[in-house]
Amino acid sequence: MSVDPTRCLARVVLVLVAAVGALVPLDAAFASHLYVSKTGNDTNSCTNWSAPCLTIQAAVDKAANGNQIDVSAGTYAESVSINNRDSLAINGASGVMLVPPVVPGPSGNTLISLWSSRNIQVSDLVLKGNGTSDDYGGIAINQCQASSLTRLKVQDMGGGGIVLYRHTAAQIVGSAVRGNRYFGIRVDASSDMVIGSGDTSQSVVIEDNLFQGIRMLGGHLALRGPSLIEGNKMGGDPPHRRDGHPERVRGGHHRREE
Amino acid sequence: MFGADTIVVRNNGTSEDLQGTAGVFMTGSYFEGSLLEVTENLCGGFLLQDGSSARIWDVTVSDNGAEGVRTEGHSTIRLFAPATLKGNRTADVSCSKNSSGAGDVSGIKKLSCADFEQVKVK
Repeated sequence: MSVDPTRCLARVVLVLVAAVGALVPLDAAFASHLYVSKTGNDTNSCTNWSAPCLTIQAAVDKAANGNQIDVSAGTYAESVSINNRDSLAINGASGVMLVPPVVPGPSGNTLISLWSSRNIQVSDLVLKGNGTSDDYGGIAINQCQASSLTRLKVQDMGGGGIVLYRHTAAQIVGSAVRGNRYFGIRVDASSDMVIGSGDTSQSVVIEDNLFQGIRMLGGHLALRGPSLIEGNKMGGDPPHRRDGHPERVRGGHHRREE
Repeated sequence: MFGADTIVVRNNGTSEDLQGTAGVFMTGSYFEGSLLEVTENLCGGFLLQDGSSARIWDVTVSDNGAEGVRTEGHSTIRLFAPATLKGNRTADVSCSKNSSGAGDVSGIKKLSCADFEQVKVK
């Protein structure tokens, strides 16, 4: 049997992504903190709880590489864009929810966008759309390395739940992606994703999405338990725009090859 | 809900999706996983197309609405023992021309794959 070096490389990348997620505790890796609260103000320094930012995006804009952003409980109507950063963490307290803003933010119609960055960790957030067809997607990760998504709920988005594009490596653990009107998770274009960690307390659930739970288009995926992919509804590929959102047209079933 | 280390893929698709989609659907992609239970999907279990490959350890693929495993367009799947594929509607493993599979056939009930490499892969 011949050994395909491309496959070997893919496996090495997947293992490295998993190792990064498993070995780096959040607080130890990100020593300096910024803070976000519903009582905050974006003109604050945001470096302590007595002067927090009002929005997550403001904290991202103020953060240096290596910072952790702590978000206190509340509903935040904004989209967040992280562009060209190295080592940044966003950590929600219990009860933090991110919902679509009235006016689109810097990440367009995606609630969290990661671009050209590495070692971005997002944890303990609920991303909730309103389930309408022109609503937001959840998370888009484009040309990033070692992105880590932990204990997230991505639900009821009008677009997809989580999309990986172009040479991105990411791991998702302890999370639920459900009730979205497009794919649950899409792994595109030479991207590597590890779903699950083998840790029984960190199960991943992908369920009740309107299209496939996981759709792979040129990507590499290592799937680990415990994971549940259940009740995802539609077959085939809906026509989609480049931003990962579906067109209104339904259908597009795969034509069977003989 | 589901086993401690198990990956469960079930009850996906609709009755209109007997073919053309699957619980795990990949195009030009690579997939690996172990301890999979791919059961009772209204569509197929695995669908690999356009140069996809998959390596799967310890898998049960049963009672799906189309093929348990379907490879097409120069795709291939390797089923590492134990692999149990049974009760799938049209075939447990099906390949188009130019596509293939490999694995221990003792756990595969309905095999429709001319280029299936019948070996025990560990």
